[in-house]
Amino acid sequence: MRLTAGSGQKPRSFRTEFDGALGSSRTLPGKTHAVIRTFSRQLKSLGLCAFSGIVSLFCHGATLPEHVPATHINQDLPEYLTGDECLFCHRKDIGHGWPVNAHQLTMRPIHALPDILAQIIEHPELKPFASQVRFVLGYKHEMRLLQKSNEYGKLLLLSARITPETEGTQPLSVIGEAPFHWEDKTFAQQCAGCHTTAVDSRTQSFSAPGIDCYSCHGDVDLEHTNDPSLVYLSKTREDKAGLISQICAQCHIRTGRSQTSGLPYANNYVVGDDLFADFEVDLSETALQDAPPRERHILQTIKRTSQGEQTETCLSCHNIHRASGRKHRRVPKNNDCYICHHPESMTLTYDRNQTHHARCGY
Amino acid sequence: MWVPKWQRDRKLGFESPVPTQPVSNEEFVPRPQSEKQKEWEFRIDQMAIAKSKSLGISKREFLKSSMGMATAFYASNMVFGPNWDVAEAETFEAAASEEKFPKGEYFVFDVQTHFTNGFALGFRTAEFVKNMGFELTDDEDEYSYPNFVKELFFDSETSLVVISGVPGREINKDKAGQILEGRDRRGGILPSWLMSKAKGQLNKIAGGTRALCQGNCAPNHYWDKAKNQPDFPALFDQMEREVKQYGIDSWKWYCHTDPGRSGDGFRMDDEKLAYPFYEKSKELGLKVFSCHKGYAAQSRTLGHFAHPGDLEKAALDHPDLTFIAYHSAMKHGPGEPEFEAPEFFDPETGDFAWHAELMNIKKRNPGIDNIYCEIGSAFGTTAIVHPVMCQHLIGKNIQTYGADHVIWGTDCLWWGSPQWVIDAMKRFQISDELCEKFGYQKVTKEDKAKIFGLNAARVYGVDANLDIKAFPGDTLSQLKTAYHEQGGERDNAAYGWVRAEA
Repeated sequence: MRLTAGSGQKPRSFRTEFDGALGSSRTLPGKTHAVIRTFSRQLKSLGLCAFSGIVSLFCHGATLPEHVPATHINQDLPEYLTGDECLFCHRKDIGHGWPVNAHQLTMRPIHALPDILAQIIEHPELKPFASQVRFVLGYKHEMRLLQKSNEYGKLLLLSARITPETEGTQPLSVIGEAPFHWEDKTFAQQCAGCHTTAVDSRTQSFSAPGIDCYSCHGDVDLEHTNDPSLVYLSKTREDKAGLISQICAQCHIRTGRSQTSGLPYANNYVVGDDLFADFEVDLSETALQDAPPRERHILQTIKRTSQGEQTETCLSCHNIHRASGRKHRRVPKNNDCYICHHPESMTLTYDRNQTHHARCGY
Repeated sequence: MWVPKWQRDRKLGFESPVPTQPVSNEEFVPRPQSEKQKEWEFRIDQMAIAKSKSLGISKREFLKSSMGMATAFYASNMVFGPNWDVAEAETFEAAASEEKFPKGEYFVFDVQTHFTNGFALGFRTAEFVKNMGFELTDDEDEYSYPNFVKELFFDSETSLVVISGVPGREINKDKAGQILEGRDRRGGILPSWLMSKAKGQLNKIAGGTRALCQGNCAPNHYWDKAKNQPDFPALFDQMEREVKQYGIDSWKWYCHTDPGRSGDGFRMDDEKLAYPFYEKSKELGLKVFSCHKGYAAQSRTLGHFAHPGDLEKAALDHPDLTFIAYHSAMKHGPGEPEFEAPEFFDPETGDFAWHAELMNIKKRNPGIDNIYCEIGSAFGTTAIVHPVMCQHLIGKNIQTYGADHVIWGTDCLWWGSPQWVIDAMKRFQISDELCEKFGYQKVTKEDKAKIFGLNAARVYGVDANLDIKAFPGDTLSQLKTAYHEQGGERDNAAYGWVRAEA
């Protein structure tokens, strides 16, 4: 399956240094414009043309090259803008809700879970590893513990599977064969693609733990502050449904495999690339029928949007930043609903806590 | 629902000289105006109507005057208690304020000022803003350099500024290995090259030193993935560039950011990451390290690196370096939900989160004298929202570190012209009750002079006898005079956001 990557980026003016900082007099609002004009006149009257000139000097235009590669397979990944830089400005609209957002919590620092850490310290078989634990994968249903590797962009995974104490009724339980040990390859080869950011398949190393803004919004240009449509998934952008669904598919399809790396995640996929140029997924009717309900819903959406049969994307119903799927309740009842809901009661047909997929183990 | 403060004020026909509710600097979500803040605003309005009428001037004119400013503080005392040094006569007699607080009494050196590289800060076009029915444009010009000059130098008593960094790093070379210059180096919304350029431009115009600048380079900005350690050659190249070519005067570190994609933040006491940087910086002759501490919600996952605990070892191990803890390490600002949580502020002790840790460093190490407490945003916002906490903040900073180790910063132009923050400090005093209960000393004019500028001048090596005395006669002062003679006046607009329903 191949899809055309979004090529909606048009050449745009690119201001020279100081231009934006000093502002173009053509774009200044009334009052500020007047102030700057007066300021410039004052400078000129004092024989200081240099500064007054700045106001009008920087209106030169240049053009950014149009460049949306079809894939980054086995290529270097971009030097993207990191989430901490994004949040310097976006804390107002994103920052306050993001710490508790499910997409942020795909990996949790252990220092944020003091109760869990206390349980680990108390457990005789886990205690020796407690001081090394840096991150936790999963949460209530099942957890895996991680420590930092000495290698760049790598984490070690503890062989134990843990179910933490729930509301004081059930003590922490551990599955796995003791003595436990740190595995050095499992995380990189199984989990990193979706639990970390910018994994380079060639080295299986990532650039940031957890899902950074880049994972879904791509390599963001700072000019997006003046033109939000430069950012993928921006409301002002009009990308094809298939392209949008691919962004979600990079992680939410758990049955895929890279043809080039053999890993269960795409080879150096960057938002805007053609995911399916490398990532092989069985979207046959048989595969869909065999998939558990939630998986089937995802695969079906990906398939239809990719083939141009459906314009509604995952985001039509799922608001990621607000962690809300409420909009899907507005959809008129149809056969798709019954993948997950009983036709009469509309209750779920499956246990929310059941394992999604054997590969992920939660 | 948020609107720009100036827009709300103009809609209401009321432009308070002092924000009467927290104005978001976009580093937090603005909280609703409290009942007391509403009462404060109401009193300012009522007094302004009555006094402007009796003086025969418009209310707007009145509120822009020193009488308007005095009225705001006077009304605050009526609502929140006698926190500010203001007499009623100052509210209707301009000469009274001018006599009490003569312009130029203090040398004001603001070490935390910002503008942006032509970037509107973005959220005006957010969906939820549109949903509120507001048709807002991205006013990048409000955050521009010309407006920065106007707000900082013409509309306030600020004499000298440090253009202060924000997270971001420069890219040194393109893929072909060619050295990049100017905007091609990228570096975020206020990169080092731009701060340097603005500093040079301002000083050239002024004919003296009116601006200093910081450099954003930090230990995790250039990373050797093979060795999983800083790419020291690249890092040192950039350091040399920022010091020698850009002429920066301090580093500005955000330990809780990772623009170099190293995979982590860093601690200032990390001997493998930070210490080589210190040594290189010493070699280059730059010994001032400004670090964002507190306001930890600015990070996706690395907020804990904004904790001030790492300053202790770093400062002890490097007594020849100066460390300036920005925001006085106050963990949360007004507007963040946690600001009102009981674990943030303990009225019994006057301690608040993370700031107390900064104080403890000095208590454990009385001999330490190379850590300074900067008060940007922390002083201004608590002055509005929680004057008692504001008194604890300044009281503890002075009590613990000494008045000669508290440094003036405002975070403007995020806050518009800093004149209201300057006026607040001029009138600031710690109550008798708090002095008695917590052992704070009254803040003297000598203390304020140090805080406003003399401390920063010492840290940055500004010559009080030479540089400061040159200000009144330099070109920037001439421009300021010309600006005022031609009718220029301070705009009460704060470039931040407030809730529309308030």
